[in-house]
Amino acid sequence: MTARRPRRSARAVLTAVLAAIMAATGCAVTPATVPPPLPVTAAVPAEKELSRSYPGFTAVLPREGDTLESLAERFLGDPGMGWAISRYSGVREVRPGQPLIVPRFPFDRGGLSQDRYQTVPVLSYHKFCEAHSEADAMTVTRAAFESQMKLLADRGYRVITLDELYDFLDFKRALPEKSVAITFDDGWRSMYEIAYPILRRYGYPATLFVSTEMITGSRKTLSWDMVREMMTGGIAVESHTVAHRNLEELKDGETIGEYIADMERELSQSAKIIREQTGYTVKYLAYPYGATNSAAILLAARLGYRGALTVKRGPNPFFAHNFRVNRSMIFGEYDLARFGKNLATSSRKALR
Amino acid sequence: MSRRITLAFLLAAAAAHAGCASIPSGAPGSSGGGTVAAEVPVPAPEGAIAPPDPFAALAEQQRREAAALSKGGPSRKALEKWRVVAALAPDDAGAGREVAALEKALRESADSHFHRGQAYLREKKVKAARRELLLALTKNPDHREALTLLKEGLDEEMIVYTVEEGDTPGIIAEKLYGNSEALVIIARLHELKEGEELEEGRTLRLPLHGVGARDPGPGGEGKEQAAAVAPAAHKELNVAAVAEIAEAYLEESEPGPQTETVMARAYLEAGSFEKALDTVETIPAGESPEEEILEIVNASYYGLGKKLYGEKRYGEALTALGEADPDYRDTASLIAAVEKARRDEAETHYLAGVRFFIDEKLAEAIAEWEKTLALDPGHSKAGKDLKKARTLSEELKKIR
Repeated sequence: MTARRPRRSARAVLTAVLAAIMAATGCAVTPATVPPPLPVTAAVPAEKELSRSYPGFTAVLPREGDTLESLAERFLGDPGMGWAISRYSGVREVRPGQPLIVPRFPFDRGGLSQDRYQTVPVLSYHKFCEAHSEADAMTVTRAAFESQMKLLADRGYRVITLDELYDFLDFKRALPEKSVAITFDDGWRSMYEIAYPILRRYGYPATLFVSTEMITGSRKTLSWDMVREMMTGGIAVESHTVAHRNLEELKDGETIGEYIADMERELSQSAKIIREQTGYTVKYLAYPYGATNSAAILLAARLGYRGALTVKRGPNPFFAHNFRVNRSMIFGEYDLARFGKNLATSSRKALR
Repeated sequence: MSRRITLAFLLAAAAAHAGCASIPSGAPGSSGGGTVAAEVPVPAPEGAIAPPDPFAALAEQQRREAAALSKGGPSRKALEKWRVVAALAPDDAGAGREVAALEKALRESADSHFHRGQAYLREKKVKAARRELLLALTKNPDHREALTLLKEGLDEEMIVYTVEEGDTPGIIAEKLYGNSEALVIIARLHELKEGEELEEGRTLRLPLHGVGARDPGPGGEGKEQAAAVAPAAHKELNVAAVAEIAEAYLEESEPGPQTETVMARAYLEAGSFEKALDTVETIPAGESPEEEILEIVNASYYGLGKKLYGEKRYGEALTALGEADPDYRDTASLIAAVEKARRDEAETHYLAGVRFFIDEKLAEAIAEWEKTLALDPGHSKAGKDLKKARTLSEELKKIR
C-alpha cells in the first residue's frame, strides 16, 4: 500500500472544482470558437464526431439505436464481441449520447484477476439415440442432448471453438465470462443424425475427433461425405488417431521402438487421411481413452499438433497444459442437474 | 508543477465560461455519470457558442474511475485506466505520472513474484510456485518468463536435459532411464539419428520416466481409466471392436450417484484422512460450496494431525495441523499440546542421555542426545553436551 501523497488530494480538489464548473454550466472546457449558428431542429453530430481513435482503444459516442453488438461490429469487426465492450466499460447496455470506451487491446487475458481466474469446460460426447431404453454410459438420448444445449443458451453460455480456447490457453485473449466448448469422439453416425441438427439450430460450433479407420459409412458410422457436410455447418474435424490405439502403454510384446513408431504412425497418418479427405490440416488431438504420457505429448508437438485433450473431468484455466486439456464426459445417465455440474467457469483454488 | 498546470486549466475554463452563454444541459441527469454532453444541441444566441464536446466528460469519468481503482493499491486495472486518461487528456501530467509510477511498481512486484515462483519450483513446491507465477501475471500479463514457467515448467513428468560432451541418444537413455534401448525415444522425439553425437549444451525436453511405466501426469491421477482396458487394445480393430473397447472402458468409469464431495466426506468419516484430502483435489470447481469443501479440508487435516499425535509422530502431526485453519475447533491448543509433548519427549531423551553419560556409556548418551535435538533443535543443553560427548569420544578413540 502506498502512502497518500498530499498533492494528490489537492489535485483531486481542483479536479472536483473543475468538474463542478463544467457541470454547472454545461459548458465545454475548450476555448470558445465562433461556429455558424446551429439550426433549430436538433442535428445529430456528424459521423466523424461519433468516435475518436487512440492507441489501443476508441472513444465512442453511441447514437440512437446502437447496441453493444452494433458497436462491436463497427469498431471491432465482430458483432459477437459485444461482451468485451460491456466488460471493459462496465456498462450493461448502450445509451445514446453516453460516451464509452471500446477496447482494442487484449485486456483480461486468460480471465485472470487478483483473486479469481476463469475456467472453461470442454464437454465430451460419443453416441446418441432416440429412445430412453437405448441410452447407456456412452449414449445420450436426443431429449437429453436437446435440454442440455438449451440449458447452455438459457444460462447465457457462449459456445466457443477450440481455436478460441487455445488462444485463451496461450494467454493471448479473454473469453466471454461463461464459455464452453463441445466435442464429439470417434465417428458415430448418430452424432450426425441427432446431435448435428440440434447444434445447427442453436448455432453452436463444435469439434469432431475422428478415428479415421472408423469412417466407413456403415450403418453405425460416419462417411466422409457426412464429415465434409458437417464441416460446412460449423463442425471442425480433428484427429483421434487411426485405429484408436492407447498411446500411453506398450502393447503385449511390443518393443519401445515399435511403440514409438506406431505412435508416430497413428498421429501422422490420421492427419494425412483427414487432409486427403477434407483438405483440412488438423491442429488438435484427442487421446484415445484420454491416455497419454510425456513421450506422446512430445511426439504430438513435434508432429505439429497445437494441443491435445484427455478425458480428465474438470474445466480448464488458461494455465492448463496445452497437451493435457481436460474434458468432461457427459454420460447417458446424467440428468440435467448432473450435467450442469460440469459447467463451472471460475475458480480461486490456485490463488489461495 | 501539477498545481500550476491545473490552475492554468482552471483559468482557461473560467475564460471559456465567461465567453459562454449559459446553456441548460439537455441531457437528463443519469446515475452513471459523465453525461455532460447535451443530447440535443440547443440553438444559441448570436455571438456563438462552442459545440458541446461529447468526449470532454469522458476523460473526467475515466479519471474518476482511475483514481478509485488506485485506492486499492497498484493494480493492472488502475494502470490501464490511467493509460486511457493519459491518452484522452495528453496535457494531464498527473495521469502520465500515475502511469509511470504504476508501471514501475507492477513490474517490480511481478518480478518479485516470479523469483519467488522460481525458488518454490527449485524446492519442488509446485502449488506454491503456481500461485506466485499467477500473481506475477496479474501484476504484469506481459511477463513472458512467468507465463512460460507456468505453462511448461511445472510439468513434473517432463525434464529439460542439457547435453553433455560426447552424449548420443543411447548414452542419454542410459543416463536417464538406465536402458539404452530407450534411445529410440530420444531419437524419435527429436528427430535425431541413433548414434548421432550431440552438441554440448543443447537442451532436450524428455519424459522423466521413459515409457511403459504408468504416467499419471501432473497433479495426480484424477479420473483416467485407461489402464484396465489397455490389454484389449491390441485386438485387430474394426468398428465393432472399437465400440466394444469403448464400452469396456466406460464400465470402468461408472460415475455412480455419488459426487466427489460425498466421497471425500465418506473418507473423512471413515478416518481415511489422506484419501479424503486426495479426493477433495478432484472435486470439480463449482460442484459444492466453498465453505463445505473448506470444512472437509479442515476436518481432514485436524483428524490426521490428531491421529499422528496419538501415534507420537509429533513432527508430522504438526505439519498436518499447520494446514488446518487455526480457528477450526481447538486446532490452536492442539498444536500447543503437540509441541509440548514433543518438548517433553525431547527432555526425556536428554535425561536418559545424562544417565548414560554418568555411567560412562558414551555411545548411548550420544544417541539419546541426537534424538533430543531431532525433536527439539533448540535444546541448548543437549547441544552443548552432545558436543562435549563427541569430543570426548574422539579423544578416547585416539588413546585406545
